[in-house]
Amino acid sequence: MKALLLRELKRQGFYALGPCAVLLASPFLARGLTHTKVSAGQGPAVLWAPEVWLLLLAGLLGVAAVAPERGSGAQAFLRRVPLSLQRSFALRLAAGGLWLGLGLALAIGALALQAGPLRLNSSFVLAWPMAYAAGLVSSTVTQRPLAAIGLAIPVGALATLTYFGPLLVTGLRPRDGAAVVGLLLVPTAVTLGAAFLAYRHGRIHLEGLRPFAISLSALLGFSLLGSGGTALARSAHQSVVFESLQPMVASGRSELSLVTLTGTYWYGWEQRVVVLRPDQEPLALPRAGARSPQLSPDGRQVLVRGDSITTPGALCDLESGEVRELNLGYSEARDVLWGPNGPALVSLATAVSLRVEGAVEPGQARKLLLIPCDEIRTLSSDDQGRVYLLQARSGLQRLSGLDTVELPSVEPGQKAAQTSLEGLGVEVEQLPFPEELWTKVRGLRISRGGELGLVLFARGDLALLEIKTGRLQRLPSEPAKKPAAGARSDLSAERRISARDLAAFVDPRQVLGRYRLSFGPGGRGVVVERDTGWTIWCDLEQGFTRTSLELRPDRGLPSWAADGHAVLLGSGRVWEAEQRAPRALEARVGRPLSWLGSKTLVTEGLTSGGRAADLRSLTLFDLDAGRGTQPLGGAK
Amino acid sequence: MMSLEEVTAQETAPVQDPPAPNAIQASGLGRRFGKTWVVRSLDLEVPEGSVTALLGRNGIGKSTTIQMLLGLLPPSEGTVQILGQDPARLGPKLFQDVGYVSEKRELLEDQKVAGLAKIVAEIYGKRYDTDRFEELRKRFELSPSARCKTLSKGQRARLLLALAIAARPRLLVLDEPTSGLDVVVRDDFLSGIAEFASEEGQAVLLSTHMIEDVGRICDRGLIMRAGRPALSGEIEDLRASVQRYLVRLTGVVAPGVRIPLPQGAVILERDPRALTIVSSGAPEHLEAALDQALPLAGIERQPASLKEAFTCLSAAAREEEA
Repeated sequence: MKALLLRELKRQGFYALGPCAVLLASPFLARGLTHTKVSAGQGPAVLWAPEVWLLLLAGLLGVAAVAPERGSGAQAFLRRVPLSLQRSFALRLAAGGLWLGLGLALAIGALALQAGPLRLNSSFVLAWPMAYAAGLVSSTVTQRPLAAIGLAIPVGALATLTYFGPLLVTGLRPRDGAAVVGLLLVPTAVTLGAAFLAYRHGRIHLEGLRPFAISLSALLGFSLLGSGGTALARSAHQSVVFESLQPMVASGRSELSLVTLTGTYWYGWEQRVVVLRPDQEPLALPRAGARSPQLSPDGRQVLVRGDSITTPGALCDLESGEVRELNLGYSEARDVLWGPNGPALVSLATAVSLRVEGAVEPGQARKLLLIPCDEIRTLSSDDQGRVYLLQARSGLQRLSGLDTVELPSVEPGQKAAQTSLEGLGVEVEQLPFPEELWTKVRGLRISRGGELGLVLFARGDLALLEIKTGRLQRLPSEPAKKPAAGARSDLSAERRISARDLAAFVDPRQVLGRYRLSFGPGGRGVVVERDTGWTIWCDLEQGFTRTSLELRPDRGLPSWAADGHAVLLGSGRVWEAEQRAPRALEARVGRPLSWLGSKTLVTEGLTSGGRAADLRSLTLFDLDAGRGTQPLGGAK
Repeated sequence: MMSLEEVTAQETAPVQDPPAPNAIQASGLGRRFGKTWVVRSLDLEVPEGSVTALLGRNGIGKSTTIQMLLGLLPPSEGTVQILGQDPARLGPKLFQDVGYVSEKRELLEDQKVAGLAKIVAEIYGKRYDTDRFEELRKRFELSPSARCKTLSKGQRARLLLALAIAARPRLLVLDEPTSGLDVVVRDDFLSGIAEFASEEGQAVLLSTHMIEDVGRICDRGLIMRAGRPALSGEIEDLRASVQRYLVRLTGVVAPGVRIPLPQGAVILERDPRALTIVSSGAPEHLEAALDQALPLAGIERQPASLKEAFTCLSAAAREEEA
């Protein structure tokens, strides 16, 4: 089949050469744009042009595979020689694959030249096969390349629905780790299968709608199969619940602990919030898909975030068990938080504005204030909810005085003017942060640190920003060497680094990584754990740090006891503040979740496999006794 | 299928030789598109070593029949055996032994003649006779460097025939291969088919409405008729089943006057004082019918040409329908 393959290569080259030439030239054309700032806080610009051209190349090659051959009669000719359809299909794919391989190599080269060391992301790795598959289906069902190009986009959307459909039907969320892979690989495989079915059984040597009907049936069939199968699996495995990925949230009085449990299904997962109560059965909130529980200031209600696709959240009454969906009036509203006055809620819109809402009556939302600002990424508040910090595109902003302002209503669809903020007494302060640092920061996150302020993750590095003073302080991300036992490391004034100098300390090679941290009550201390196992315990009052290497620190988040006397590490060990050393326990705790009171830990069994038994193995671990004492019932 | 003997009064001697095995055997073949039957209840036999013409008026379903025979279109009813096997099961393997020149004469347009021959040779493997292709290519005056998309209709037909013959098929199926060809090209083409057919055991099914071609190279024929059973038989028997009658009149018959004719008779020419009629029925029936309706001066019976026979046999079906 050498001659046929060469012919295919030559024929498809007509479609491939253009994008390949652009990919080849792009590093030379766009090299000067390497460090163009896309926007503050986004770090060096990642030029996506090579990826876009690679997608275009893949889509065009998919289109080129069959449609031109049908239109020209070549498919009919090849149908009249002893060449199997499987083989001719494989030849077309092989030629397309060779061109795609060249395009991929050129794209990788272009990205490497443009953006330095290539960081492969899943969309780069997986998006172009999807584009190829969509082009291939379109190409198989039409006889004109232009028509196939037009059809490729709806086909791609329909193919993606084969994965999204089940999620929409069942209300599940795609699994994090497998989400992108699933979102692209599953539809890609399904689409390629649909293309082959249409090619094999569609009689594409003749005119007619048969190939279209076959591929459409295949795509819809897979989608329905996935939806039905997922729904079936969900109903059949309601008790399969299994990892707790979210930190527990304990109430201020340590009487209640909230934990988000995740059930894993075929396509994705479902999250439910469970309330752990001492000496009582755990209460599973009836609303599926809830996450990130937040206890109301009065301790009577739990605010949970919902699936951002459908609803921003819900309020669950702990006494009655009633669940009330929040209707904030904006489809893009998300990230609801408790406001300073209890029932008031703050929601964060995705694009252009911060909206302060009042959830007053069930099912109603009263717009109180609309704060024009640029793109908001993160919002946090201090313990009392009096000061809010938001990470916007232009930098960090601090809003204060919200609790003292009587907020007038704003009619739906209207936006309050920026000037009205001054009249309302809301202070908007731009916090200092060096612009040159922002351009290098990527994936910046803000975590609330109690009275101490916020911890900023600057490309993996840590900086402490005090809300009250606006001062910025870099935390030690990783010690150069393991300090001797008992050595003290002062983090007080002389070690503080001014914001201006901070950029010099951000070394991506050193600080790349994932951090988990937890502030102690009253801001006494902070524990920072890196995924490498290095754990830093900073006593911010007395100014010393202690480090250790923990095994499996990723099993949980560091969690402080309510009185601050000890901290439960993700590895399951307990550090006691007074002794400044890990506490020896008779039995190793299971997967640590949180404190319940000052002497009791809530732990989870370590059995793997994610079975219902894991959930039922939640136990109260008595710190003094050094062993688990009271198993808790499971939540379905 | 209605045999020729059943529709004609002309007796012909039955074939005494043992029947040759059939390269194509179809029975009760039919194809429906939506609610419309394009072909229905067609019985067809192409014996090995024969050149069979598939005849019929335009739109009668000849191409659909061929596609069903070759497994390119599944029949809605009936069964097909090609060289003793079911074409639907064989799939593309069928074309190891069957050469097909389609009506549309599709090629790989981006290829040159030599390149296309190379690809086809690679697909067929050792079976492909490169020397034979070269011989035919030179005879058909096809330049190896000519690109397929620049070839004329006739050149495309000749190239396809050369490619098909070079693959040494046992059965050659040609769908309207000579339509649109000039006289010289057609002669070349037909002689190529005749040469192929002269080799022992090789069969040809030729779909055409060019009766002259049929007379030159075909020994059997099958006439498809709309809504009626097809007629099949030896070409000479088909021709002989129809007689031409020159009818002279003593008076004038006005042009609008309807002349009653028996079943199977068709008026070819009509003058005020003379008629030319072809009929597959008994002569006495025709004479009796004419005698009652017209002032007859005399009737002269002559052998019909193949073209007249085809006109009569296919037109008769229409009259019966009416």
